[in-house]
Amino acid sequence: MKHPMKAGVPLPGHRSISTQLPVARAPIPEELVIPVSQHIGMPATPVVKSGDEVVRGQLIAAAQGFVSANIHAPINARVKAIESRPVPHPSGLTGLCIVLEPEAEAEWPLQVPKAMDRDSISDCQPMDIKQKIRDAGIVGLGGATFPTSVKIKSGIDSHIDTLIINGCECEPWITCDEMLFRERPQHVIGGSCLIQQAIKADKRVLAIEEEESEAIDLLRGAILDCGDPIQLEVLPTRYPTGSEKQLIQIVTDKEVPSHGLPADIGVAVYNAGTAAAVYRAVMFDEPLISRFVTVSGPGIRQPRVLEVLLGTPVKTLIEFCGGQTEDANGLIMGGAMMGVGLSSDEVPVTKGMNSILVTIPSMMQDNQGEMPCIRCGECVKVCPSQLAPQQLLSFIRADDLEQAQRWNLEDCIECGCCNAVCPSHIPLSDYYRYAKSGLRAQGKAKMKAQQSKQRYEFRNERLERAKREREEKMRKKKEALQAANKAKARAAMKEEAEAAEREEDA
Amino acid sequence: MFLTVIIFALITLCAGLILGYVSQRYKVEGDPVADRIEALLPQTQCGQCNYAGCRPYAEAIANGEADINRCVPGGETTIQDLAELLDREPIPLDEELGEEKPPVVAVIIEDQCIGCTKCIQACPVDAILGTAKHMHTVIAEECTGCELCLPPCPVDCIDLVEIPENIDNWHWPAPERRLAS
Repeated sequence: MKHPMKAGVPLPGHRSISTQLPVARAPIPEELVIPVSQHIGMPATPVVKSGDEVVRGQLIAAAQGFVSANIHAPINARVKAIESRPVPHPSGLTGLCIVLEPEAEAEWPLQVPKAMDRDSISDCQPMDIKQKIRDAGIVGLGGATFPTSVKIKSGIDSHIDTLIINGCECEPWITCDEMLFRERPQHVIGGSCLIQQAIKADKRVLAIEEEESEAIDLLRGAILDCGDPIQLEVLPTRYPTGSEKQLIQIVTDKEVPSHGLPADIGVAVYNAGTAAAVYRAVMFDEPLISRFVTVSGPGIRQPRVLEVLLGTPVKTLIEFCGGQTEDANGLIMGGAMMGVGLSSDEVPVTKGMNSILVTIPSMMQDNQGEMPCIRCGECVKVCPSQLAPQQLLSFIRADDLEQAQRWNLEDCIECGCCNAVCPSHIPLSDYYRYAKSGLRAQGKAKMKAQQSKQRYEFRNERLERAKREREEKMRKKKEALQAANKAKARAAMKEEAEAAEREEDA
Repeated sequence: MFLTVIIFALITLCAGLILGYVSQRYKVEGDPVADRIEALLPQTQCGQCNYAGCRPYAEAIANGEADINRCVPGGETTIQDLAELLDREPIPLDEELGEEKPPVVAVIIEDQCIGCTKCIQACPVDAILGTAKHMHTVIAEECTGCELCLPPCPVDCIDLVEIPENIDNWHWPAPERRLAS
């Protein structure tokens, strides 16, 4: 490791309880509920209708716009309905979903991990790789769910010197990437070859935490088999090492500018699971229809990592893992630090869901109640984004979001380190989440006002123009009429004169 | 003494000439204060402030003719922003004009619409679609909820409905402060 992170907190990993058993496949449920919005960007548009028969891997909802992702049928099934269902979201609200009823004997063929064919990887063209990723509907599987094809595109367009494959699952309890390394290391390495080839990165780093010890040797072996110069960085376990900006700083000692992107400083970070999905999409033409999910936490009887078809209800996973213990009191999607509570176990697994934690009362910190801030400054020391959490808190409590924005609230990654060390048990990151979404809402309102103003001005201009045109038309008509009248009058006069002349002649 | 008067007169004259030239050379088109005020208004163009639209109201504020508490759709937030911009004390919304309501959109009850096009003519942002003797409909994304289409409708078939909460417009609630006992 080159540049140790001074901020952050050491946290117990709770890894071993879910890595004892090998990865198992979750059973195929009676119905799969597939939300059309599982990614950042525009929701996909359904391209099937109720009653249709679909086959495994068939496109069922197509990406809409540039920042969006395709969605495929995970298994041979019949489309039961396209309707609003509860989706995994902190609000507990519903979203449009495609409900599939799997065939009675639907097959889920096992992709046997084959030895990697380095030559066939070298034959792939960057644009082909990008297109295959786009077609396969791959999004960032670390939880951010940003469409990968868009990221590849920006990597093709700009110069990237370092490609980092992120295998640091720094959040306690989450182990799905570690199990992926153990079971399919060649998929991760193969995927990293493809991504490097697409974005033409100069060098490639695979970052992993030292706690994932069993995976490290397997990865070393896979890297040797591959033969590419891949630098394996084994980083000390400290939360939040796996966060994109922090990882970049640890590996390269470069800092992503505020409001900037990693591509601005020539770095691209891809999650290990995403790399594996890229490999499967390009080599086996397999769209993103399943993923590894850690089912863990103190409230589950048999914690383990499962390979799950997207759309499987969380309930099915919990039942497969032996059910909840008596004192279980809640569900968290994602890790214990940044995850969000789920209000129901009926919601489906989506592309970004890396873990389901079943909690027990003693695990939750916030049942102690908070005390006033004593300005001890602990939160400042641990903040990995180098913010001033206690200042931000006082601005937000005073409802002064603009001031919080000036103090770079938007650089907060909501890691929750400040909560973990606060001696007064103030849920600081809850305030930041609230304020950030408030700022986003304000931004949206401003955009709408701008749009309304444009439409209003356009309408006024149009009315003005119509009025001008009408007046112009009337004026022309009047002129024509006057001209006609004059001509008539002249003709009459002429006739009169002629008549007078004739009379004179006579 | 005489010399001093001349020197000062010359300095004043030079300064005057420079200022005069600069004010012509770097003349700012339009009214920058009104522009900045207008940028804070919600652009619903509803006229609830008794001005013809957001721009006229912004100009009235800039000229000191109107108070900053007349924007009903903007409500308290807009008053706060205006107070900050103009360095004044925030004052409560003028009650005579109406009270702050959650954002709404207009919805046409389609089987009652007779296709008279009166609402289309009233809509300041062209958010109503339709033609004579055919049913009209509101483009919800463009509607600002300004209520201007309500009075002209001869059959009262336009409703204002609150925008339902969905995943797109949901935002995190403020944390509840639970103090330790």
